[in-house]
Amino acid sequence: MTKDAANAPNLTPVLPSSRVSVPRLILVFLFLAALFIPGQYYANNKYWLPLYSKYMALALFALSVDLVWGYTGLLSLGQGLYFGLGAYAVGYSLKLQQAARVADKPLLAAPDMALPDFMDYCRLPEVPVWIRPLIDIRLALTLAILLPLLISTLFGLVTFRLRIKGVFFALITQALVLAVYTLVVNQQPYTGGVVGMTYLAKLELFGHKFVMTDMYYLITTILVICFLGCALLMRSKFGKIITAIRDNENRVLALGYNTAMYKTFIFALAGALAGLSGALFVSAYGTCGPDSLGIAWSIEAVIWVAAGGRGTLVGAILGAVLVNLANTYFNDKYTNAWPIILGSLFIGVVLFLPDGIMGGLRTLGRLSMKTFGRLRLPRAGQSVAGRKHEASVLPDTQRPPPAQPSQVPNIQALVTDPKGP
Amino acid sequence: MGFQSKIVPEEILCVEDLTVRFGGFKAIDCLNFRMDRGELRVVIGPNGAGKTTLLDVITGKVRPSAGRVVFQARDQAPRDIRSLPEQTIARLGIGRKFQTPNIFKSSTVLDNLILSLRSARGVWSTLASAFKRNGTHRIHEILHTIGLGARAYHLAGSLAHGEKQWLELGMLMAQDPELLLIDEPVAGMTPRESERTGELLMSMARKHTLLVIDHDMTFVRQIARTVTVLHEGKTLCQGTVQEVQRDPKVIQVYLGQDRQADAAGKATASSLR
Amino acid sequence: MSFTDYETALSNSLSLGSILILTALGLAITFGVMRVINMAHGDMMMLGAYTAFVMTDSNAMGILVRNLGGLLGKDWRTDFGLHFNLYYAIPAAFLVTAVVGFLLEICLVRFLYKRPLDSLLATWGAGMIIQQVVKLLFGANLQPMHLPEALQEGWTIGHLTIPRYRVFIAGITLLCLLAVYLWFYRTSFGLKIRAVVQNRPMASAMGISTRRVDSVTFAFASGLAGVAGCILAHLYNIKYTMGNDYIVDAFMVVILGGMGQLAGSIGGGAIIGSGNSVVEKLLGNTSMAKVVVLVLVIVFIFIRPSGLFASKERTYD
Repeated sequence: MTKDAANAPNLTPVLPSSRVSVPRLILVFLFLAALFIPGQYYANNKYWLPLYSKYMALALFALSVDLVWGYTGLLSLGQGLYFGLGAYAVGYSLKLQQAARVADKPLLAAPDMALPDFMDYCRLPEVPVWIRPLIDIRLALTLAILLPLLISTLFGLVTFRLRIKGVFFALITQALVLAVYTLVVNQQPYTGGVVGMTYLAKLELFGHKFVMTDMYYLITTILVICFLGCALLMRSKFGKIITAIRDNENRVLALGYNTAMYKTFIFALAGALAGLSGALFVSAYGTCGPDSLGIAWSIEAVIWVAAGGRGTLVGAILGAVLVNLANTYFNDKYTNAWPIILGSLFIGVVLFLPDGIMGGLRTLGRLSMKTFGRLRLPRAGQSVAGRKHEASVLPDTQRPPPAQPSQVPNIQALVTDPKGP
Repeated sequence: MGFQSKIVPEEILCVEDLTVRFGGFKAIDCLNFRMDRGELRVVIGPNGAGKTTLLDVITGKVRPSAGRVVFQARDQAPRDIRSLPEQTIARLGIGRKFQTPNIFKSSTVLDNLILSLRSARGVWSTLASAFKRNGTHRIHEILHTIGLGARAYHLAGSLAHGEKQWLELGMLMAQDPELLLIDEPVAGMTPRESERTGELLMSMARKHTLLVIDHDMTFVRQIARTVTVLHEGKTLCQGTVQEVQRDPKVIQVYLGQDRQADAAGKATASSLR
Repeated sequence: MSFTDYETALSNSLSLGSILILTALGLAITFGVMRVINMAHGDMMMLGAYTAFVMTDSNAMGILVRNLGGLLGKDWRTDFGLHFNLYYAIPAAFLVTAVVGFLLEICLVRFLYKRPLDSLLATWGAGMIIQQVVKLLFGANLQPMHLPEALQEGWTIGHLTIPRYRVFIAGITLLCLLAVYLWFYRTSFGLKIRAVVQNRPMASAMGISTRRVDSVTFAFASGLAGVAGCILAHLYNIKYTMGNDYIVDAFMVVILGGMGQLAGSIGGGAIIGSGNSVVEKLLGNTSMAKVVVLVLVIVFIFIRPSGLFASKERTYD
């Protein structure tokens, strides 16, 4: 059992326990740089550029879904809630600003401030007190991040301490987002109802108006910054604990980590990112509606991540952009076919390509390396792509527990996991 | 409280009148069990005797219906840990090796050890020390000891079964708890691997307290000083290996399940030797 | 609340509760037997409703044929129409949705056993496809339905007058519950189902065809949803998206009752159904009632995560 000390590995000084493969780093940076290309290529294209801005905002949203699901193994079908909160915070702001402009009033909160059209239409006497301050875009943006952060933290604290996970968790998050959707749609005078708020003002920060290319570069820069931040986080010890929780939460507990707190942290971070993405989306899109609060939206975001490659940040962005590109394309040409294609994508990804495009690329890479004679070792912290027998590694936490022959069957497992299947 | 008078300073663990019920079924029935600091105790017993349930109770996975579990860390006051959450119990100094290798399959061998290494466990502490490289030397040592130095960057899921068991023991070494609960460490191993594992455990026993559960009598004989036999949730008998093997109650429990074959009875008795 | 408010609340509770019970029962069965989350279940309901539409409304076939022709680029018309009444529509809805469920199971669901999260996503996708197909075949409009004359009036018991149809719904639900009970507990196939639920490998080792149990059970569960949809069709208008309105509620019922517990689904359905109706009467607003009930259920789950009828065993008992 004892071997030479010479066999002990040489740890690189920068990031412990992972041999950072330089070619891969280069590829990632190239990818990030490539994200800026549409800003140049579609510079004055009034059709494509706003669409790409939208895609980049949705890519940020996908990152947040990936953090919670791909890395931590928690299927939240309600991330749209946090997206929606951010969207509406900024939506209100831009709407109030637009109304003020049209009525030639100053951009200040006041009892006599201009009424947005939907409030006027519903005969609201004046802008409600709690909405008024949002005319200040800085407040709105801060709220767009803080409010989802707060709610996701609270929700996470309660849910994870109760050890609610798996199916229960998924369905509860879905119920929550549906409740909020119903609420928002129902309160038309306050929220614009099903239609939402249209004709929003353009985003203006520090005296600069963000339209077209400016908007695109703004969103993409934020996306890249968040990407780098998440990448650093997930490669640190914190990230290792998170993926360990996905793999084997019992083991993590037995090592002394309070997994509920770790899950809450990542869930809160994802909530904040989702809120930010919602704010950016609405700024680019020009409309703020309750669609993002519906259950279909949150589920679709999961498929973006799954198609791109869950557990990889690049995959999340890739999936979001590609699926939404396909959406635009098919909705233009074959509107009738799109739901069928999307539905098939759901099925296809689950059945045939669980590790998404990134998984497929990795398998290709591995195969080609093998045929060229040199076996490349898998990188630290990766998901196990291409290893069919390790299908149990997928974030589906419902695989049956390993057989434990000496235990009393069934009852044992149930008692240690009373919160659900 | 009164339990201070019932646990002596040399004892690390004191289980009193423990009862665990699942529905109508009593997995553990008024069990009493004590361990001294630095001991290496082996617990054996037929299937369903409650061995793994006992571990589950100690580590906090299962709440007992009645009874006490008192743990006394070195230089600490004794504590009743039966209703503490799992992670708190682990931090107090109780580590566990599970029955089937319970490692992080999609992390590398090295990551598995890094995560186990003794350190602050809180979220903020972890973030603060995100890229610090404490304990590298210790991890090298452990890799060396468990023989996985060459596989450090391999995903733990790709290890062979025996290697996974050793990795889990390595994780325990990194965690460095005072009390180690080891559940069937040699299941599925070759005799040679079992022997090596036994050596490893005995070297760990020099500085820690070990509670080992196993069925393999060869292995038990290799490592055991004191053996406790559990049956139907109770302690049946306790003593050295020889004493336990000769105990009529133990023989009855092991043989009584095989009444038909008398010839086989001899064969089963020999399985206790 | 005024006098007639009581009546409305009661009758709404009856009907909504019954529909939820029927739908949730199917979900609980699928989850209990196969550990599969079927997000297309709501769309099974919708299929049942559209079957009722085709069976009872003589215009239905015309619309269907015209849309089908349109898809194929042809101009097809027909005056043919079915004129069956509700009593025939119910078994027809059961059969049609059972067949669709059967097909869904053998083509998709059976690859997803014991993978609830994966099955959730995949069946959601299947549901999207089904919805779109129905939209293409029947159009996106709301379709009103007509009750048979006998069920249109009220029924007076003592001081209360309840619409007959609502009582009819409760009656059908009771019949279905009885059928489920008899099937599960009094037939040999039901015994096989219970065996598979309690110990799948053992049941398989004893010669029970788990494949057939799964397919038939899934088909039956879908059929139940179809019946629920058929009934629902006559209460409100039908639309190709109607499944989405009920799927979350149905899952809440299942969770509330304790995942996989049949009795729990009944209890949960009754509670959520009546809860919705009562709160609706109190608030005067259907949507807000839904919000309130959803939030209450979530809070309840936080308080008691294992549901109403938590049991340590994953059986039907």
